[in-house]
Amino acid sequence: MKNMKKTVFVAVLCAAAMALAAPGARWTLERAQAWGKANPWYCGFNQIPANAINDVDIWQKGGFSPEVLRKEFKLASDLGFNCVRIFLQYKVYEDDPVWFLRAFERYLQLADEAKLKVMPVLFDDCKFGPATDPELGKQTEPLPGWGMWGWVPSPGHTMVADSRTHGRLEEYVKAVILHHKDDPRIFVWDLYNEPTFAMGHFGRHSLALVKKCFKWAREINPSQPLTVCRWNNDKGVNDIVLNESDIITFHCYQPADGTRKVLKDMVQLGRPVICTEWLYRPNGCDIPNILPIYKETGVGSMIWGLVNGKSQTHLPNGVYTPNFKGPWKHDLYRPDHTPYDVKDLEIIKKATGVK
Amino acid sequence: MKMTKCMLAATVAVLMGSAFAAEKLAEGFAPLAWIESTGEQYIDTGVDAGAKTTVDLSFGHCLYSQGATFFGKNVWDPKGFLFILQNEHFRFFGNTGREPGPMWNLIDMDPTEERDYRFVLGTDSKARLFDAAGKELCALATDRSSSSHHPLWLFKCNSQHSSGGEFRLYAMKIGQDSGEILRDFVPARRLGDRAVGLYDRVTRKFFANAGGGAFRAPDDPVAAGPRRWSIARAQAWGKSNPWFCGFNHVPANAINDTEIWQEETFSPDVIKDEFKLATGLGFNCVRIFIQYKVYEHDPVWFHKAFEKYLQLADEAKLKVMPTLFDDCSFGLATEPTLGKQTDPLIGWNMWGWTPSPGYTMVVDHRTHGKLEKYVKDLISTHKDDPRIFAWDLYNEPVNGMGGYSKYSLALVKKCFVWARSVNPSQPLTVGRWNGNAQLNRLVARESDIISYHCYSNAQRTRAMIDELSKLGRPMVCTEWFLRYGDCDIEHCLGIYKERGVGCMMWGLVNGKTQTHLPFGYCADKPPYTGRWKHDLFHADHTPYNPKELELLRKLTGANVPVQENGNRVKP
Repeated sequence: MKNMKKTVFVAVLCAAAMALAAPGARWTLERAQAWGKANPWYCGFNQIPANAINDVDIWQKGGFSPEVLRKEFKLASDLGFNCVRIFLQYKVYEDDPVWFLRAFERYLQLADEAKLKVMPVLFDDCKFGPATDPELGKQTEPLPGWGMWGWVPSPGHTMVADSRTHGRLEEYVKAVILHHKDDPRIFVWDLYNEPTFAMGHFGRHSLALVKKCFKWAREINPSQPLTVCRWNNDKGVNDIVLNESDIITFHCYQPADGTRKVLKDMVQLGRPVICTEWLYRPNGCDIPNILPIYKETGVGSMIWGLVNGKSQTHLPNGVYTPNFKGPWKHDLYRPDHTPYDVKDLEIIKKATGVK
Repeated sequence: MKMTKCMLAATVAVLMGSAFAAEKLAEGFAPLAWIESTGEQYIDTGVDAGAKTTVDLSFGHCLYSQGATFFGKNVWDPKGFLFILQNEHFRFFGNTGREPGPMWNLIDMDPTEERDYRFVLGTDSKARLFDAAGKELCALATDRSSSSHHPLWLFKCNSQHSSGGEFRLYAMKIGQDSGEILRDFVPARRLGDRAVGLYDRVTRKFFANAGGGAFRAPDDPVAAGPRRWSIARAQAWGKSNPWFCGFNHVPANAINDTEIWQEETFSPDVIKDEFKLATGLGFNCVRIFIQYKVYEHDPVWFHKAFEKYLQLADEAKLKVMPTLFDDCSFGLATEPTLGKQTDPLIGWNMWGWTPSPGYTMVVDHRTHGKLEKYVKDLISTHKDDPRIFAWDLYNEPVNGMGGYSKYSLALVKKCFVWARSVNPSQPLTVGRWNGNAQLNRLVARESDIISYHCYSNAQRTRAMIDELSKLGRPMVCTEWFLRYGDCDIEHCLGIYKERGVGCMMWGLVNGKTQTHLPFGYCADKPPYTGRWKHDLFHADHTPYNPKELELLRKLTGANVPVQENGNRVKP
């Protein structure tokens, strides 16, 4: 019965997707700039709820935790944050699209109540351990001392490389976007986080999939802008993302000089710019030095990490450092919600102007 | 002859080292199999080096390139001399007034063989180093006349890592040329405070650390147990076994080793039919990969399936080499799964193959208790099984592991420790497959018989045989056969036969793994029309190349008629 319901539901969505008018095209500079003017300075965060070791646990039955989300959103809005970036996990959608879309709807509700606009991330190549593919069910326990142990890509490297599966990926992208194409609670669609990350010589498969994502999303033609981040100097990636994205997003874990340089290059493209990932205290990419740069230039800012949790993102990623003594890499709050560094929070509040 | 007495002492030292358990020390002390040192140690032996002194050192093999330093004479004495024993080099330093002094001799020690050494500090102002067989390795002119200091023997491990420094001392004797033993050190633990050090059976004194480091005796039960087979034992095994000529087996209906073994897809009929082809070629052995995940899911089932496999192989007169772990991945999958496996992705070599137990378990040391159970359970169940001729503990460690390679190396070491503790009748091996020096040192030191992979042409095939023959142990090339590299039956099989090196080619029946495709071939390349990389038969069991099979049969002797009693009539 459940499968039947799922099939019918998805079939309806697909039919709707196919029945649309001609696909959209990349936004013109004018349209993008108008969007920029109509939107505030975005200042927010990437969220991994503290009780989730990866995005399977953010979304799957038994993992999705509205109460945790509600409490974390309260911390965020107390800081004056106005946006949140959240990673979706294809495998959870694949298992039960009805469940997934319900959970996603609940997430949007809670974010809306906390006055946080949402940037969903549909796919992700990142991995910080050996595993390349997500699995449902009970996730691994944190390996103490290993930052981002247990994080998994979405949909996973095997599906990225196996184009026979891309019909299912198309269904997912179109269903999720179609369902929320005019949803004011979503301010941007981030189609694919850090394409080619750890793909090695299979990177070309990620690039092919990025192009497909833009194509599928354009066929839905949502009201919100589409983006894929610039995250390194790879020309193959950047030729695509900087020419396809409606607004420019980038990741920058550099200290002030490096940040200013990248920022300048991105702004020169003439479109609204948001840095969708930063904050790396050990090398000076920290709140006191960097947040003012984003504020003063008007470039959107989304730091990594609100509440430190199972993903251990205070530690270096992907290596075993049980005796790590440095400053926290990411995150603003300890698992019990006490601040890591009160000064950071003061600077944030000053920048966001929260009362 | 003078040397004979010394050799006897050396032999005794070796035997003492390995039979420590029978030794009785004074009350309050318990013998240890061996100790290692970290940091700096001082053992003042109290021996006056005025007379001709011999020092017999019984060492275990080294698993890492760490060093141990032995000083003869007070290290601060500018006229002293210095022996440094490191992993692959023995260095003799003569100190003519400058610390540490110029290097006089550099000898490349055989890093793959356990060696016992003897230093002889002669009255002729020469210090000599001998191996246990009495062969002089090098000599150094020293100036010992100027000092009457007691020799101060310094253990120093050069390791920077607390987990390294696996330079093990089993026993140390200091004697005189007359044969008198002055000191007889064995590793021991002082029971009261559990201090680890050297116990001298002559003076009945205990020497613990007096420097900036520590002696260590890891609480490893296998430390007390068997060591790697001696060369003699390995060669005896080689003589009592035939020339091994066989194949790696992936049943044609299996896309990976989950499908080989799991209950849903284990196929005795396919295996039986494929074994028939093998026997027809004159093969006498088969290498088969085991998927840990299937065992983990249902060990009872796995044992049943494995027993069935051994039965079928035995009926076909094929000896079996099981491979317990495997790091290889040809796509992006790093973890094995159970249940329905992916379909072949047409045009992608080995699409769907998964490692065993998978990269996450290799990296996550918390799971290694489970892996230990698997290794010990499987090997002890078949430790005297004549149908198994060797245990391949780990296929191509570090392949695909990238930055996680050190975890594979650590697991390889553990595999040997676990397997040794079971002490099966069959030899243990892990194959050398690439240029990774650390891995190659490790497998060369731990393997009872030498196995390796060689997908290269005749010239390189010969060169590898030449190189590995130096280790003096029976050899099996457990993977070869790459037609488009001229690594084929015509060019290479004769070499293995002529040199008496076992060989196991890749691939019998072409199947779901698509191993006719070149390495690295992916689905977005144009359809491949070149020579098959691996495999001898099409999926329908017709030969890919009948002529090469004729040659194969000639070399294995399969052509030779079989008598009624099962023996082949010699041509």
